[in-house]
Amino acid sequence: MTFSSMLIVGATSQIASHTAYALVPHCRRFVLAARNSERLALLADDLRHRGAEAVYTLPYDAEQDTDRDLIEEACALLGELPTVVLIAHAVLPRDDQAYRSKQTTREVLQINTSSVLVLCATIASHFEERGYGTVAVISSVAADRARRSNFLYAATKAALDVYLDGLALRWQAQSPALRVLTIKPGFVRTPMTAHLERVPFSVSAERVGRSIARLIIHGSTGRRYIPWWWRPVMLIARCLPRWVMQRIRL
Amino acid sequence: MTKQRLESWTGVVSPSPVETITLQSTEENPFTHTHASLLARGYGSSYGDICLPTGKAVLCTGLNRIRWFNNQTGIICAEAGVRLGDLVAVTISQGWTLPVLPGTEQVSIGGAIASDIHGKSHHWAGTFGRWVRRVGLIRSDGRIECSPTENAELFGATIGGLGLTGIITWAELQLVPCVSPWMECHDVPFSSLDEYVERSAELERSFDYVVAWCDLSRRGVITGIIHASRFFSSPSAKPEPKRKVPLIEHIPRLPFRLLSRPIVWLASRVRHMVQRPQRIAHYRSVMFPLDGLPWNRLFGPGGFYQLHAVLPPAQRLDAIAALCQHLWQARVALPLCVLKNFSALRSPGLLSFPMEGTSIAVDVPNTPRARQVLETIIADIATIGGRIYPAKDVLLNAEQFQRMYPNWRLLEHYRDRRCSSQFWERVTRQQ
Ligand SMILES: Cc1cc2nc3c(=O)[nH]c(=O)nc-3n(C[C@H](O)[C@H](O)[C@H](O)COP(=O)(O)OP(=O)(O)OC[C@H]3O[C@@H](n4cnc5c(N)ncnc54)[C@H](O)[C@@H]3O)c2cc1C
Ligand SMILES: NC(=O)c1ccc[n+]([C@@H]2O[C@H](COP(=O)([O-])OP(=O)(O)OC[C@H]3O[C@@H](n4cnc5c(N)ncnc54)[C@H](OP(=O)(O)O)[C@@H]3O)[C@@H](O)[C@H]2O)c1
Repeated sequence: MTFSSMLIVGATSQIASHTAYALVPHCRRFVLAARNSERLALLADDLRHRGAEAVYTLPYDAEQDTDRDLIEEACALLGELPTVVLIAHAVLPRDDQAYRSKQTTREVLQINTSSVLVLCATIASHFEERGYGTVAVISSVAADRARRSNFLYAATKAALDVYLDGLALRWQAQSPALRVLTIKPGFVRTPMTAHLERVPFSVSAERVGRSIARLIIHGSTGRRYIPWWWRPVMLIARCLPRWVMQRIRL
Repeated sequence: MTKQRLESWTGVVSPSPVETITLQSTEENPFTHTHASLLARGYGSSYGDICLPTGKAVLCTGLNRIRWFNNQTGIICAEAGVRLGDLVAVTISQGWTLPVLPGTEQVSIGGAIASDIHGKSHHWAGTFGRWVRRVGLIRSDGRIECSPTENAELFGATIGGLGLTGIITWAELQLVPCVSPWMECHDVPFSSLDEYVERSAELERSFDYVVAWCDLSRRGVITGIIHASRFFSSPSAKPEPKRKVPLIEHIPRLPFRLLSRPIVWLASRVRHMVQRPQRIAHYRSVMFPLDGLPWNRLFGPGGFYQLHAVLPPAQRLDAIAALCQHLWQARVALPLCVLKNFSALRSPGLLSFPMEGTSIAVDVPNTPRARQVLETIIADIATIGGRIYPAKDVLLNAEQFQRMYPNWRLLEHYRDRRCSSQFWERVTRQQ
């Protein structure tokens, strides 16, 4: 499948940029939104050299730009609503004590959850009106079961999962051309996780990017785990009684 | 920031856990964040300790953007972390390819320059460094650009400079035209070293890419197959094979040595039988044959060494024969042995490995006996004026290295005082 245009929010994230690389042969025009405008410009040039027909950029900060309608802005650049929107930005607090800070909690919640849901709201209104479109959001396997570390991050992602499940149910009833894709990668080696111990079975951002591209091209919907074996792993993890989680030091 | 042990492709680990600084943009300067000594790192595809830092590692794989590409002149400017495989995947559809490609696509532009890599095309293309037009470096005292005409000495030191002259952030490369991603491949068997020399010289006249697989599975017998190929414009091309990207980044090693002598013997017999005189294949399967396999994990818990040497033309036949005799004495499986000829084309690099002669690369399982044998072989190679490839080495001592690379003092002169590697410490240590 090829589609005519796509908006990527948080485009400079490692996973999102690899997704864009993998989508170049399938998508003609890109709008990239991200916070760091310098890296955004470099990525845009890069995609052009890799064969994208047109690449536009929008500066976007998930903490500050709460009132903007990115979809409208992308539409103005493209002359049409994008067919696919991928939302990839997030922060993972580094400090293990982050959950005790009001400031960090507010910030993480704003970037990972509020900004994403606000975007989803505008996407929903635009897409429902037009009758088709795919919204793909990068969540995480972390959201499936709380651990003693990073549960603030997990909680912000869990909210996305529930919201997207609901939106998917609603859209399914409306039209098969309205798609919601919840992407749940396992541990990926990216700048976000550079400070963590090397985890066995970690995968590269490139690999994840390709898988996301494939899911989008095939029009997949629902919660998708990358790599696939995280699905059975998390199924088991969800069933583990609490005392087992207490013993596992993760 | 947690520390972890870094590894080379063969599993040589840093003696202590090290901190890694990840570069995301060529504007960042890692020297300003720390006082430690630094070493740039690409995909860790080298076999030895040239990619292991003494201080901190600077991971460059995030510098993976193509800056510009002129498809009229074939000149491309890309950041140093771009993988060679990715670069070619982009340019080949526009009719251009890199003249020098190694045996794996998992090599960064920075790593390719730092090792001044060579490929199956040495007879006309020489080394990678010959195709580098310009590089951008970060040194502890600031940024600097160099080319064959500007800061030429530093340029020469950086080509094959093992990452010691600073961190390469981008490079401008000259590509060569190519008609399609498809290649016409010929397999030509040989049953002795003399025959190899004769046939390979002949094939190099009409084929752009020539390499030989050498079968050492039978003691006392050296046979093999020369693979010769060139790009080919086929009107009825098959569908492109899918790119193989390993699913898991860190595949654990097998708990036993799969590549045992009987298995290698059997595989070699099969390989002789299935050779096809002529076929059309996609460039990826011709250039990067091992990339689909977790090759480095098949040698079991002990891992393996690769002996990669170049032998001067006059002594090469005797030297290769002697080397094989030694290897057979180690009584280990020798699953991979590759022969290539190096031409007299000179590299601009100070410490470039290739010189005129024949190069031999042999994977040798790590056993105490094999190690002893390798040490003898390396000593012999040093006496006859051959060289060992730093990117594959763990066994050279300072005296041997300095004899093989008399220019090392010049590189030491241009080395950034804040850059060093485990390799450099080992081979420049005062005796
Ligand atoms: C299966 C396989 C086949 C191979 N075949 C060949 C072959 O045919 N011919 C050949 O010549 N080599 C071959 N190699 C070796 C490989 O090309 C070199 O070891 C290469 O240097 C690895 O590049 P890397 O990006 O992985 O760098 P690393 O292994 O991470 O580092 C290698 C060196 O490059 C330096 N370096 C890396 N990035 C930078 C940078 N940005 N700036 C400055 N210095 C940097 C490092 O400091 C280090 O000294 C092969 C390796 C494998 C695994
Ligand atoms: N890495 C993993 O193991 C893993 C696992 C599961 C899910 N994920 C998810 O995958 C997605 C991509 O992450 P990644 O691993 O590719 O890491 P990454 O490269 O660090 O990407 C995170 C991105 O979020 C952006 N961002 C942070 N705060 C922002 C803000 N206020 N406004 C706009 N953008 C902001 C960052 O922008 P800057 O470039 O400007 O900093 C960065 O590009 C995230 O949603 C992450 O939760 C990752």
